[in-house]
Amino acid sequence: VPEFLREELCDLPLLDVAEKIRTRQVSPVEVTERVLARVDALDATLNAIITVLYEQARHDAQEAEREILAGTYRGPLHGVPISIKDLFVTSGIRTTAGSRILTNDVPDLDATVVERLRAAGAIVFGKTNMLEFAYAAVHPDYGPTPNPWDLARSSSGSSSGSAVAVAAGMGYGSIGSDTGGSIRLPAAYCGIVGLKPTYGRVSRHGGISVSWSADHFGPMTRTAGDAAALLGAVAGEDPRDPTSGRVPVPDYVGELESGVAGKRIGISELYLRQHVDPAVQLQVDRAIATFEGLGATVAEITLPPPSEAVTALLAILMPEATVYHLPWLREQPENYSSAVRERLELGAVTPAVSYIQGQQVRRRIVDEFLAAMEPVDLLVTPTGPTAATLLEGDLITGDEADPQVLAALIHFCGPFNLTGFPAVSVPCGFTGSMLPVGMQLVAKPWQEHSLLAAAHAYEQVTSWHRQLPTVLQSS
Amino acid sequence: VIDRPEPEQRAISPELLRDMAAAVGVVLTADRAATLAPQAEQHFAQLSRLHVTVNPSTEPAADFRLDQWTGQVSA
Repeated sequence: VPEFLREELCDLPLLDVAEKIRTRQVSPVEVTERVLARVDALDATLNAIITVLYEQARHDAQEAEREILAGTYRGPLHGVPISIKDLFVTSGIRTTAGSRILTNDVPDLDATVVERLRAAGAIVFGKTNMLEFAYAAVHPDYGPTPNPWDLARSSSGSSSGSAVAVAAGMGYGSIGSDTGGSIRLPAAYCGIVGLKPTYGRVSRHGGISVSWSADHFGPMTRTAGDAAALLGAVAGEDPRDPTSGRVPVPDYVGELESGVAGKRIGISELYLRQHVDPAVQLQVDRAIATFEGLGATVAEITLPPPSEAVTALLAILMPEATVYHLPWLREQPENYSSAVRERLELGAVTPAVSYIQGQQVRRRIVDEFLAAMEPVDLLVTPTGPTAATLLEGDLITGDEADPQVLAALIHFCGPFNLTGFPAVSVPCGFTGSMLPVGMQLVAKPWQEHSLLAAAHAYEQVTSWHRQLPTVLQSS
Repeated sequence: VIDRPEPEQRAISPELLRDMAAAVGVVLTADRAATLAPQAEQHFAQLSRLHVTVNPSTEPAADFRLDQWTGQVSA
């Protein structure tokens, strides 16, 4: 067990720093300056942030400080520095989506999640690096985001910059996007919490799309409680998103202590032991035993094969992505990285019949998942088949467009983009090489509070989430 | 799951790919089509598995609204 724990102001959980701000032990200005200094010290190495909003962050921090001193406290995000993936449009601030095509694009509106973060008093201080258009390849103009646990390794993607920023104490949370695992896989690789909410829980308005029916936006944080605070701020119905769910938003922070005692945890052979590195398997098995120790019961359930769900997901996702990109693909294909261009071209030749069949499989698999998970509260799986892989030859961020490779990497995450069920990746240990391992908890639609309560209960008896990444141990 | 054999998979030639892409206004040069053909072959092989698993009478998820599907729409 490593000896380096998160203790500096920049490395505290969001809820801890929020309490310090609320009780005026620290000011939003001080916290923001410390975070900006951390960015200045580390980001030349980590390449996690495309645009740092120094001026706006300092202005907003002063405003937050004035409000709090005047007795107006907006809640746990007030005065807290948060980053956003650079695919959320921001009024007057460029939004690149990690692409050459949008490198100088300056939108004139804020995405709903940005509006809601600001309304909650958050200091949006940076727009994070990402795979090009969130479509599983690094554009050479932006470069990869090395893993803070081992700079020679990948931080996965596509929300790589968000995961690395949070892991390295560059802000207290981030909002990422997830179309096949893009919040959960980088969270697992970097040892943080990443929540993909239910489809429809968080508005997609103002987010640059990969796939309208598979894109999900959600929080990336160092603890489950922090994810609860961030989700509570951005969740809820939005008339500007036609698929936004008309479902009440619970008090996620208030429900954190509900625990897992008496809860029923489902496991499924195909979602636990197929195509998994033994080092990952070991830690997930131990996490399941920890849940049993906390009073949960474990039951085997039968689920539709992941490969079937992932095939249907790709049949839907790839042509939807191509339709979104069609004008650029026709007019400036040379400005894409080779891998993204190839995936978009494959989407262009995907038959309409396959797309409709994918939607038929989606409907059937949603029904099968609802029935299979009826007797349980949660499902536990590994988040990814391996821990972080070497950057050189990395399959998820490299220039390999092979859909088969992509399908293997999203084996555990992809089914929940197809079904829209909420899923969270939680740190659950390390490999022998001190690389973080993530487990995925899945719940039925709209049950994010159950996921977060289970993750929070697990964090109370483990310390994986408190470990300081190697890049900070040596600084 | 329907017990149905996978349809025979035709080879995907670069010329066929160019024609399919052109139908939606995407230009593939001969070189690009040749590069893409092996990927497309695998892609189509993967998609052909859907023929086996789909019940043709299933209503597709044309409008993905989990709040309605799970009966949790609030007033």
